[in-house]
Amino acid sequence: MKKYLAYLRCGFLDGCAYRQYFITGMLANFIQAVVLFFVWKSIFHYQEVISGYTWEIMKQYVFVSFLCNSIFSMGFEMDAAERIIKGDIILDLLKPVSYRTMLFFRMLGTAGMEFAVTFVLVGGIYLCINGVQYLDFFRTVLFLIALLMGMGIKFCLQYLFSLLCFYTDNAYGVSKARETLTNFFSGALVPLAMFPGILREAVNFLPFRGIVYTPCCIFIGFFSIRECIFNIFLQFIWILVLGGLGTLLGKKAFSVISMYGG
Amino acid sequence: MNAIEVHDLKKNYRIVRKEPGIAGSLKHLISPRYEELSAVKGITFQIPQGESVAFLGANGAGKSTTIKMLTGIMQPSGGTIKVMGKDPFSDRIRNAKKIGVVFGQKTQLWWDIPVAETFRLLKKIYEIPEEQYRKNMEKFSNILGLQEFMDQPARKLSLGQRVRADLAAALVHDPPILFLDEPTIGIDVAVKQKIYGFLKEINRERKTTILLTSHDMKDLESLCDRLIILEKGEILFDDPMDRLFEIYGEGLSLEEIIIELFEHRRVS
Repeated sequence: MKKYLAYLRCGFLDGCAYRQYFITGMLANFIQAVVLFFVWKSIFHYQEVISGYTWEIMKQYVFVSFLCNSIFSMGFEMDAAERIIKGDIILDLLKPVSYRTMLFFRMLGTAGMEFAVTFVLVGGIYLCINGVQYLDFFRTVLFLIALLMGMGIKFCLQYLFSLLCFYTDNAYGVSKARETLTNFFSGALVPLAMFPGILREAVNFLPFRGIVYTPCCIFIGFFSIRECIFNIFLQFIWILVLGGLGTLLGKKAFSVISMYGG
Repeated sequence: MNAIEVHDLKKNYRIVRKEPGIAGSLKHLISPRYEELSAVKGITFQIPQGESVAFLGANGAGKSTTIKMLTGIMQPSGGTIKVMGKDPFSDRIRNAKKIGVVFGQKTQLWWDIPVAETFRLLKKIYEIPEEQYRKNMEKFSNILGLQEFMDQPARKLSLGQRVRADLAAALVHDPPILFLDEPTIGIDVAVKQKIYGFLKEINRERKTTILLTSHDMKDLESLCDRLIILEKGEILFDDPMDRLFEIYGEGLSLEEIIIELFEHRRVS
């Protein structure tokens, strides 16, 4: 474990290396959240209730969903994917550590700082707009657990997609595809309850909802406590399934490594 | 005991066959054609612990491919490898503890954070005891002059500094086997001398097995006891360095002999 904490540390230092880059990234995030807020505001101006959502609820959903989706943004998996394509991955494989665990902690270190700032920033905006009236201690604890689980799912997906680079040679394409799928099917853009008929049912069988929709519903209070527990359990199952898939694909992908690194 | 045992080792690559020009590229997009290329064609050799061996061969002879398979990051297409008695690919993590690797064209140093942080990380991941770490770092710093750039990120280092740091990074956990793939590529004479002097000392003092590829004949000659010449994926010559001179006459330099060997091979 100490080994991986050392990777966490280096990842963190790496994340702090470029001040401008960090600030720009934060600013971009901030703008995105604000834009989304006003888009929904204007939509609710014309219609008071959409699929059970009112503006009061949406004011919470916008920020909570943004927070849920903000860790491990696309840049990190592109990094990993590019190392695969350039062949630098061989340097990672020469270390006596599990590649996936190493990647997780390195990314967590780099993303951790960014997430902490987002947490404070978005949390601050949330409080300014909504106040503390909706906050409930027990729900918040469950929400934080679901949030961590969601991060786990997101990482597993990113790992799977980055391994595809062994076959596709396109880091941007692979990362963009993953990001688009995640954003849409997780509820980061639109709450899943607003999806039309079949699609709404179908997303329940996909892992993406665990990243944003599940923690959001827990926080806002759409789920009963029973449902909360069940959904967190579901997230856990998805982590196991996706993790297992990652192990299988990893075994296969590392055996074709011959193509890279001249 | 043999540090490395290789038996009938093979590696095939699938390479793309593309016809020239725009038409060829478009055609490739729709129906790609591939071809099998065998980079290593069944080589066999053993290296006892403590020996220093030079791999020599033209570009594309299969040297780097062989090294990548020995380090456990690439799966062979056929044959067996034993490094310290274990298969390096299936036992990657355990193998990684026992080897040090430098790829002259790549760096394991973290690009954006101080070199010292990379070493700190290595100490943790190889679980190096404090005493051993301190002693090694002191020694490496003295010989390779690391202290002048320890607080700089790797991206600010010159090539010579980077390679020196990479070399120390590969050795900080006292691996019994060291793989060096063109470690001195693009390095000036002074640094090169420093590096080979250092390697000689490590090999003598710690009985570290060294397997090295390079195009610097002079340095190979001074460092290595044994020479394996590869050509087109096969072993052309595998004997002690002295033997080569016995065969080809003492008067010639290693470089001249190698050139002659390749020329001769091409004719026959």
